[in-house]
Amino acid sequence: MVTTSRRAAAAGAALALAFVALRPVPARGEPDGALSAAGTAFGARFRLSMASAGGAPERSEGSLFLLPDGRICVRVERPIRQDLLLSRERIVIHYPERSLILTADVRKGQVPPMLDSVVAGLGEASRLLPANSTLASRAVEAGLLRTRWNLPAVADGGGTVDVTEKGEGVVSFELRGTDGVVKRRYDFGPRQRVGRLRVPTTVRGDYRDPKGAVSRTEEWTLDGLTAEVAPTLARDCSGEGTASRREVLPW
Amino acid sequence: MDTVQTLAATRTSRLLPLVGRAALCALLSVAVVAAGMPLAAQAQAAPPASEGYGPQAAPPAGGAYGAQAAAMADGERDAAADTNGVAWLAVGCLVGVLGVVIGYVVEPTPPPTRLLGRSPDYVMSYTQSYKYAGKQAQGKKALVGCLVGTAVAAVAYVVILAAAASTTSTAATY
Repeated sequence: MVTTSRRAAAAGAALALAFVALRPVPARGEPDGALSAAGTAFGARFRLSMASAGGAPERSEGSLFLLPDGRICVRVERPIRQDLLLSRERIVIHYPERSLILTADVRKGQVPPMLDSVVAGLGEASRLLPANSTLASRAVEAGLLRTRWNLPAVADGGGTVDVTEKGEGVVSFELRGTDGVVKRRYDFGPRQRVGRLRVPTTVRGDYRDPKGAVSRTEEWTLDGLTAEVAPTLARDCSGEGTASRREVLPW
Repeated sequence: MDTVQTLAATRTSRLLPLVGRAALCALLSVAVVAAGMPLAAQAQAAPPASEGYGPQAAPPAGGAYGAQAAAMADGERDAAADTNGVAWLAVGCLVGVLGVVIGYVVEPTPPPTRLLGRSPDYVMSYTQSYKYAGKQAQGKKALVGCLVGTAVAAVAYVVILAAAASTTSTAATY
């Protein structure tokens, strides 16, 4: 009897440990207010070029908005009309021309839908790191601050993050696994001040496969930056009250 | 001598549950692979069926089917690239069968950037394919980890058992 209950307890503990180990770790400063303070909203025209594993680049363009409450609205104009509203709790994809909404709730433990490369360029680098990350080294070289952080094992297996910064913000952000292989890298171009933010006008994201080869790339170009964001934008972006069809997106 | 024999017997009795657990891990892992994951398989099979592309259906419209196939291929490729193999190997190795089950249950989420400027059909197919392929990749890595862990435990068991037997026979000689 005792043995059975001990086994059950051990199995339960192992299960709990596994879920904890695999649970996405929230970034240090990511609680609901990380990007939602007053003066951090902005809008911009964007052009995005995406390529996968050496394939031909696919381009899209439209407008991108960071809302005052931290949500992101993307209004795609080409190649098709599409609006995305991304938040920590939900993803809504609205097709105005089809009067269709695809929506999904983010379950507990799932990674919130986010435009990683753009968001990585907005905040202070250390705020993007998982909790319990430790500073490994810091050096100033030719006007650039180079910082290396060690990530805890619970953060996707651990590894290191190398951040290069200059006065106006982060220049590059490189994540490596415990084996030293680069997993992803972001490079940020010149920045423009909008409200309290210094928004990078170009962002390049390299996503690598387990062997370190580039599996896909994203290149964002942002221009026409403005601090003005319409108060009804979130409602318009989600198609609330206008779309006639709503389907659940498997998320 | 009795003390040495008792010690060996105690070690053996402690190791037996470990061996039993390892054997159970291996058997269940094989069963999982053999049986497949019905829900995930349904998720994979559902889109073509819903489009009426079954053997009895009319020939598919090439463009729609091609776009859907491309979305699924993109989802599989991205999921394979995004899966952290080392972490899932470790989970399988340390947690065993539960780790394998978790690998097949935990659902990865696709990067929203990949959905920008895509049609609803592409978004649905890509998302389903990404999640299915991600779970498969996670489960397989965890399974390999589980089998490696089982093999290591079995080798350790044999070594310790041999050492205990050797100690027992040496003590008996004296």
